Amino acid sequence: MGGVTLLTSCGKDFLDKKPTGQYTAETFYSSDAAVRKGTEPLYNKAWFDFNRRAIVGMGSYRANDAWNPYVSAEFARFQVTALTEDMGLAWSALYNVVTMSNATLYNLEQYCSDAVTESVKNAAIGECYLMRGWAYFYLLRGWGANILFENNQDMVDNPIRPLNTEADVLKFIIRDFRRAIEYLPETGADNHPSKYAAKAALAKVLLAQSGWDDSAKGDHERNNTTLKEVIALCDEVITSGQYRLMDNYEDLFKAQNNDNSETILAMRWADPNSGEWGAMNALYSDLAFPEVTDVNVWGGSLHASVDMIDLYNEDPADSIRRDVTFFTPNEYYSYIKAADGGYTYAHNWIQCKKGVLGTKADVAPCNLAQMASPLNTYIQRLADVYLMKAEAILGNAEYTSDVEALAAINAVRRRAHVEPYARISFDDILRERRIEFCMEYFNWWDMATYYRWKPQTMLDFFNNQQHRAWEMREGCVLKNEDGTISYRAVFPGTNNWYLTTEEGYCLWNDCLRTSIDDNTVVQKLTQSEYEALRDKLLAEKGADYQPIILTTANVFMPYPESDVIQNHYLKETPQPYDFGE
Amino acid sequence: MMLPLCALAQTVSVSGTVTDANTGEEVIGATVKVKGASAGTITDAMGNYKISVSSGSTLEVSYVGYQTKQVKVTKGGQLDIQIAEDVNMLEQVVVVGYGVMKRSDLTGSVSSIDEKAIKQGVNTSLEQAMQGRIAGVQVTQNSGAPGGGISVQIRGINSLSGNEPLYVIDGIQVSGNTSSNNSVLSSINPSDITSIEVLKDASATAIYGSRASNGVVLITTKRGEEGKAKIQYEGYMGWQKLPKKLSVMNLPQYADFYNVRAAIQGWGTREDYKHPELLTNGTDWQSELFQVAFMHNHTLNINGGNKDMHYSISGGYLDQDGVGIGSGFTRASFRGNFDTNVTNWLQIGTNVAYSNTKQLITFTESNVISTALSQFPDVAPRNPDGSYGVPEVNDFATYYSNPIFEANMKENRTDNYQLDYNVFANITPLKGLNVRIEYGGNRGWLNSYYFVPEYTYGSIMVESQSTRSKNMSKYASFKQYATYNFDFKNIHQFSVMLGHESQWGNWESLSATRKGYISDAIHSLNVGDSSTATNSGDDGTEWGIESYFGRLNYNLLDRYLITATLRADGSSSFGENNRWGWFPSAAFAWRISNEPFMEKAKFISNLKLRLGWGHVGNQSSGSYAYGATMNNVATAWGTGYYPGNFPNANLKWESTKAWNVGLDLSLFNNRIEFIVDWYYKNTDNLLMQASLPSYVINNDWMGMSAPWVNTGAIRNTGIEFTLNTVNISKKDLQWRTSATLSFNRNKLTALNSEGSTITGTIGTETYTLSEIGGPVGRFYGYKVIGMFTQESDFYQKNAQGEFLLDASGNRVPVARPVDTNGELQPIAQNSVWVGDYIFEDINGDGKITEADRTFIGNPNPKFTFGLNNTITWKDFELSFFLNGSIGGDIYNLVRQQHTNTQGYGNKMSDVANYARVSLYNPEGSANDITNVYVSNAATASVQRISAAGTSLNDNNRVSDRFVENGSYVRLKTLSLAWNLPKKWLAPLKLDWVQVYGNIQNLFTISSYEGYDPEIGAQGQSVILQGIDNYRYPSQRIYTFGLKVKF
Repeated sequence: MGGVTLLTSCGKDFLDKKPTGQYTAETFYSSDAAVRKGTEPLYNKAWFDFNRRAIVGMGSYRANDAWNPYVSAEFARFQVTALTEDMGLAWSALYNVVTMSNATLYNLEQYCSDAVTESVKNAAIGECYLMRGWAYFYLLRGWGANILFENNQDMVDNPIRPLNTEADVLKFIIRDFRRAIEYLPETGADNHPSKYAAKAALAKVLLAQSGWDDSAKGDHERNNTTLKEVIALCDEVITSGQYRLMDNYEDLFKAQNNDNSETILAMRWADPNSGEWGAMNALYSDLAFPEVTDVNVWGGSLHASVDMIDLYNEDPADSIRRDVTFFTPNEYYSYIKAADGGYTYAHNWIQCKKGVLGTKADVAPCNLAQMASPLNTYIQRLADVYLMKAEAILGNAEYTSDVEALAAINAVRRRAHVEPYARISFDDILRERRIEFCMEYFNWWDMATYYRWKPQTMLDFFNNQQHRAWEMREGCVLKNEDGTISYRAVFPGTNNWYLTTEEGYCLWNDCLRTSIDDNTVVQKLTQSEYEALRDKLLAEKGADYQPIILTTANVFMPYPESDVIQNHYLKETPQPYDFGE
Repeated sequence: MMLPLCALAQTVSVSGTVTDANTGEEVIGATVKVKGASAGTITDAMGNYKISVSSGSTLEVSYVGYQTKQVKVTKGGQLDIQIAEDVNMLEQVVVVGYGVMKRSDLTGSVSSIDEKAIKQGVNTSLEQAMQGRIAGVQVTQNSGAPGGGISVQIRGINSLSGNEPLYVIDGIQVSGNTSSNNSVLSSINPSDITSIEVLKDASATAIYGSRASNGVVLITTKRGEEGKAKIQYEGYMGWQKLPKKLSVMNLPQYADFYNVRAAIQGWGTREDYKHPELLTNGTDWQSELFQVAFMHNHTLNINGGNKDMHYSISGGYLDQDGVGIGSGFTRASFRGNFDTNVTNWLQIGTNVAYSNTKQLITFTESNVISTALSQFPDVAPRNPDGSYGVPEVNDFATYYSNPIFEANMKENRTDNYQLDYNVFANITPLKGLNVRIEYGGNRGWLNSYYFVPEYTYGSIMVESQSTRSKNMSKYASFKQYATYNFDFKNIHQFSVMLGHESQWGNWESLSATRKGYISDAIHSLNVGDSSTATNSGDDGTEWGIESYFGRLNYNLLDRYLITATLRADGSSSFGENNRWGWFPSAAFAWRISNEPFMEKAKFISNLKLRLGWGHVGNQSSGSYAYGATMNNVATAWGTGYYPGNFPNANLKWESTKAWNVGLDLSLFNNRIEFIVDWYYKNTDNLLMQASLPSYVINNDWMGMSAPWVNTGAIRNTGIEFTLNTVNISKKDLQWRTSATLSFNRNKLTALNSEGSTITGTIGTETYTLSEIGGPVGRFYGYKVIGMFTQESDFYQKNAQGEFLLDASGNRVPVARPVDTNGELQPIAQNSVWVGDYIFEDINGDGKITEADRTFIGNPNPKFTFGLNNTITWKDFELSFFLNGSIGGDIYNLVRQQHTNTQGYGNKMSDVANYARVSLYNPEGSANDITNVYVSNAATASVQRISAAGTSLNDNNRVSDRFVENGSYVRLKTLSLAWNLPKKWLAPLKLDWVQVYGNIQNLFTISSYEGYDPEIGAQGQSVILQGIDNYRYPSQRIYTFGLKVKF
């Protein structure tokens, strides 16, 4: 018996099984190449559920860039509740960037072998800080107070933590970006960021911090010292020689131009043909409609908001950016369905164009598949730095004609082939941002920042000038000879389809037309006549119309209920973060 | 020494008929031999035998299932022998793990199912045969799909990650935990099984140490027996049918609903819906999707042998179409068991089983039920030209594909090849000592086939794609154990066993995809577009367990029985500091009926008291969970790597310490057998992947996976009863009943992280919560206490119906959901309005928040039972088997999904009776709360249709509206069999022919509104039990079968 046992005893190695299908952290970080590879998922997989759908609703629908009554409508309607699934997915995805950054930082410190070059390790550390900072910046602007943590294991040991104050979240982000500047190289290689990407990010968060006050009820001043640093950082980025505005605005949104000279930081997605769920840009199917592509899509109801059309109509010359952002009637797009000689949008409608790349052939040499776009998702591009610089110089003033400020904003305008400004106000900055970044999922985050600076101004802006969730169907949009766009809107309310006068004339934004079915113009309207008539008709016939009102209660989103169930602190007063200083 | 005596004896010829002592029926194939001799004879088709013996010797007559009878031969000539069926089988030998024991010597809680029970009813998988038949064992089919997954819970929830028992099939260990949607035992043909032993208490299972905490099921396959070769054919044909359909809106109802919703929400009107009353009922998608499905099954077994060699060879074939289009299962199986006495001290043998199962899983994988419930009733399944119908209205961003297309056109199937083998040698170097050396294992090859053809219908463009994956699993075990039996003056009997075992396994995979198929004729990868090719593969992580074990049995005077075991297991699942675990057990049994003072109580055939204690473990955490791994993912740069998991270097064994007290009582010559067991189990250091908030662990598994932790402790207590009776036993009429009844209560007693709970989530939504002091996996949500039907409902009233007023004289509002500032959401159409549900303000703070969630249901049944009756009258046998589960709740997620008035698509017919918001003054504003009311307040079955798309009230949040009583009683099997008269068979040289008809699931008594109240657990997860997430419904099966033996 004993003999048998001895013969078959397997020895210590038998129970010491290391994975043969994956690397272990202990041995992975043993070369420069491995360290570089160890940060790449921070550019795609980590962000996946944020970019998958919610980013559009959160970043653009809430800013009233556009809307789709059937997808993510709760964001446009400010009806996000603690149970809204896409909100919960986005929240968790942004924290995924945090935990993945934390873990990678830990591993880099813990496991890098001697074979790893210091500069390569530092670059990787810098990327982790940069990504973590951005994730918290989205979280701050989406939800306000957040849970800060640098050590994942602490959270595993005790995940039931209080929220940290918005001021400390800002401080934390700033610290992350400053560290990123410290660690990132002077120039980035192979589409990895340089320290200037961190400087641009730092400028953005400092600009936010300069006026951020979550206790103030009214508008207040931005901190001038901070603004000075913002300007200096913007200048450093602009003059670094690493970035340049693209010549053609439309080129910014072609997959072939991913990682172009204007890109400062972007989510970079895996090849659509990799077929790996979680690695790819799944937005395509939400954005595009079947006519323009040859993969399965369902974005057909996504169209411009009436407010964006109003904005475009203020300056019909600003049509390049408009037609790149939305398909407008009769507009020709040579690079969409190029094999058929291009595509002319032959609809009286205004559907989403930005992010819509056309067919598989159009994106070559990139690939395209259902729920997989080859297009990067910008986190920040140079135009944002120019506009930040102008905004920082404007500071607390009502207007500025500062040469530097004008040069900055006009650089962006010149590229769009529109008249330069001679004097700018905060409204101009806001307007410029809305048009420049429409449907790039940026605008709301800036609006949230402005709200923390000028709460009253922004609430007025949200509620007095915007008409959210006004729908336009096919046939409700016409392009006029002067380049303006006429539209009639369907507003949400019982049994009211289009606004019609007592005579049965259909109200368009610039005229009355014979009827819903007949577009013969019976009377031209000025903007003020239109607004007066519209409001009158709304009051009469739209007894059930309920405008979407933004308040202190819905500018920021609620915390996901499944997490509140586990952590009741999410309902309690935020606490200071221990920075260990 | 015997030889001279033999030589002196006179040889006589004896012949006669062997008959059943009860029925008088001839027993065919009984072995008749001289006691102590190896040679003998077998009774023929008329039960006759003839043998030459020495006078004065003893004849021994044996037959499976009968008590062996000994008859002294005094003279030659006629000697008819009656043998009695072995009712309680006390003398029967049962497998106990690394050995066998007489049932009478058992000290632990061990239940058995014999061949007869396994073959009653249509059990395509072994686990089904166990349902309701063993007290303390709860079997639920997690899916009714052919070959679908099954959960077996032995004595409650012991483990939070993988609660399935360990199966030991002819010595080969197979974990019941499976990550896939099929049963681990689906590759085994139930006809090959002779017995199933279920080891329930820790004293019985401890010999399996670290894999035993969830109980052990020992499965023994047929072996050959000495005697005439037996050839047996069994076959049946069956027709399966969906017992029940869900009630969804028909076309007039849907059109009416659509019109109202379009008006309220501002969608386009539809010309064809203008007059709903003129429309036909439209497509009944469930009728299109479900079919009467055919199945047939055939098994052939040949077994026999001589003194030194035995064999049993069988082959089986099962082909089962699913009631749902796009589902089905086939199994071809082969098994050969051989053993040989090489010398008088050496026996060798081998068991080999091979099976090929094919499962069609398009139906379940594509969640076709959901699509069918949602698809509009005006869409035709097929257009006149044969193409698949699609919705004409398709500009609303949400598309439902054609479920028939999904089920028919997609290929989604698996082929599983399973080879199980072992070879063994039994060595008997000296009397009483037996050494067994056994090497065995299995190989599994699982091939998955997925294909979608290129297809365009309506605006839906389906891109062609083919994916093929190959997985191989390997498992091997090598064990050696020695058993020494000795007996001291027939007073002290000892049996000592010592052994060693090592096991290892691995799993590897390879998968590849191509797109761009120019036709759907060939799905093979090589014809796809090579430029789209992708592939992946995983070499896996090998695991190993090494064990030393021993057992001591001591029997004093056949009255006092003691069993003690000890096992030491080393597992590769843990770091070096925690690698080895020790698992002792001890049990004591007192056979009271053998005491001298019981002599007079003749009516008591057996009375035994059992007491056991044991400590067992569970090591089934993720491989290398104690260390840190790197995961890989495709990135824009190529493959990138990220930290894959949180390591936990201190991960250690889950351990269960359990007590068992049992009593076995048999009365009136075993006509009544009663068994009761009470148990108390504490499981500590529960292994599971930590349940962490979504800000730590991504709720879509896009980042690091949660650490494996020792999360806490759980207690299970229960009592279980078995009653077997022979109610009538006459020559022509017999009636037997067996009943089981099981109660189990589980309670989470500790969680190792302070203030934490375990949440069960699907997507981002929490459905269950497990907290200290309560059972695992209770549904956790809101309570609906009514509906806001008019303005006054928004304010609290006292018992007299008067409004409550606050200090400033304002009416006190009824609690409503709150905004991010914690203020009540306004009373407004696009917020909370009449026609919305009122949730109970559990904590009384005047607000509806997550703090008002409470436990709204418990999926754990209060008790489960089985009741089997077999009535034999002459050549007919009628049996019916009822089983049931009482007191468990079901969360009807299907209803939650399909009663939301907001979304697109068809709904449950309840929705036709949505809350209708009307105006008191039609000229007045619909925004004026005093002007609106719900006109069908008394009957409204779902909330209003909200103009804003969503209501801030989240009416379909997790609430008790969707919790239903999951109790059911089911007539699982009703069968009538007829044994053809012997006289018809004799000329045909047939021993036995039986024809039978059988109805499975003839009726189910339940108030549950879904398809079927037997829900099971999502992916075998014990924290997501009883949630009907589009479970494939169980079917009713009508079968006709034939059994022939010759």
